[in-house]
Amino acid sequence: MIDISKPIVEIQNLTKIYDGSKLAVNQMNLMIPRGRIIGLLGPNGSGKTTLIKMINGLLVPTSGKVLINGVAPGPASKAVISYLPERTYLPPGMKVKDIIAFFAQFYEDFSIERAYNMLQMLAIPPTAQLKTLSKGTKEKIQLILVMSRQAQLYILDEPIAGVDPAARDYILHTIMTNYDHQSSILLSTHLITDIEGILDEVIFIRYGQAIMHAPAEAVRRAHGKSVDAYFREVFAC
Amino acid sequence: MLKKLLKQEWKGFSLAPAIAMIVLAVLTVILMSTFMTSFWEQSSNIFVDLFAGLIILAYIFCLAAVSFCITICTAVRFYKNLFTDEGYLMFTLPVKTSDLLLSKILVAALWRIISYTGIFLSIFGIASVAGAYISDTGIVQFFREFFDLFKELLDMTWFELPVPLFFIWLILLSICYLFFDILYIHTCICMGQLFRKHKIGGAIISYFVLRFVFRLFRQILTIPLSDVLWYYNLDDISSGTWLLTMFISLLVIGGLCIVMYYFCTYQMSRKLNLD
Repeated sequence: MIDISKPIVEIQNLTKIYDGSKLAVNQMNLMIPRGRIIGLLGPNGSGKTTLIKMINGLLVPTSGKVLINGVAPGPASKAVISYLPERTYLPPGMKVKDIIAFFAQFYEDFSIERAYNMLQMLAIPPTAQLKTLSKGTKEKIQLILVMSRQAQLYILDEPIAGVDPAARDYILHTIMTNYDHQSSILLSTHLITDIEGILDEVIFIRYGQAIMHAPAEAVRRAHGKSVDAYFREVFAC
Repeated sequence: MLKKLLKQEWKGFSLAPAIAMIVLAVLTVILMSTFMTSFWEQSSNIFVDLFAGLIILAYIFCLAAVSFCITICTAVRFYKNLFTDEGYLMFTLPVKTSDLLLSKILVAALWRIISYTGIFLSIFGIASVAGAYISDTGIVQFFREFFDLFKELLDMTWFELPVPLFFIWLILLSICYLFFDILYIHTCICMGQLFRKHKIGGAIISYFVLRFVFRLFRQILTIPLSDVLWYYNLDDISSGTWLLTMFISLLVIGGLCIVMYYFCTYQMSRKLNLD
């Protein structure tokens, strides 16, 4: 039984060292609450993607723990997390309708109807083969797949990086109109201006450590500036 | 979930092996039909000779290509589907790692069985038609003689052991080797993941190193047996010794399969590091 009073993700003394020496995540402690949109903010190489991969079970921590609903990453956690990686990962030989059927088959919370509605809105033909589509369209399909689930936690790694402003608006609109408000969204980006308006909380990451975790409004009030402006101040080169 | 994974794996794996099998079937039918017609009696015609040479060459090439194709598909599919960007899709599915691995092993094994059966039926089909053509007895008679020979063989004994027991051992050993070959490829790819860079190169190096280790292991294991064969007359070896040898060979191959399976599962769950 899931205890909804507890945070959805608990990270305890998490460390990841690559190749025996490169410290990517350093003794990190973090809690991700339920029903919130949280910005995971940090410059390139700060450890955002490494942290996200460990939550998703794609990387094994060097030490420490990641708990999702109180359990380590595994089939149970993967059933409640909807993850959008920062890269296109769909098999190129598949058709759009096949990948939708694939998701529907494996994820009980996947809505085929919602997926087809979004495809129709974007005028993406379901019969199109993925290898014939542009990178931007493939990214949109990935977002459709992720947001067609009724997950408890959505993890979106750089969802607006590398897309044009119009597509950014569409992506943010899709996220906001499709997520269940009981769920949490962990949104990693360094393009803060575009997403600041939708964030409930922000986590600043530097050198693999969470240096700040606070409500977005509290940051604005405490520092008298936007989260974006404060981010620039904190991470000034 | 295993059933769903098997379905997806079957879809993803089958295209190239299916094409190879269709080509083999077409070539088999062409070759068989040459024995059913008067084709081989026109050997004085240079075009007929050329066609015959080409078709036989294509057939031999195809026999090799079917096995090669399935081995390559096993390696490529396993690597691409799990350790490249596609791994982001596969490893975030709510399935157990062991199910993921099992689906790959079982589909590859099924395709190997299909290909071996196809190759056997193809050779047997051509041989039976050719045999009937050469001996001029007809196919029915050919099959009758073949099955009589097979029945006789089944009634015989081999080192005081009934031949059917030997056949059962051969079948079990073939099954073990079937899984051994697949797991060997998977193990090498998983070992390649231990390399910081050049993971494919690492897998290839692992392939040759493991091969050497296994050969050495086999050599050491067979020393006692070769000693027995060297010092004693083959007829003096008791049926018990043969039975023991047969049992040990099954145990060793089966044991290695289990070790490789657990190594792959361990690598895919506890050591996974997708770039």
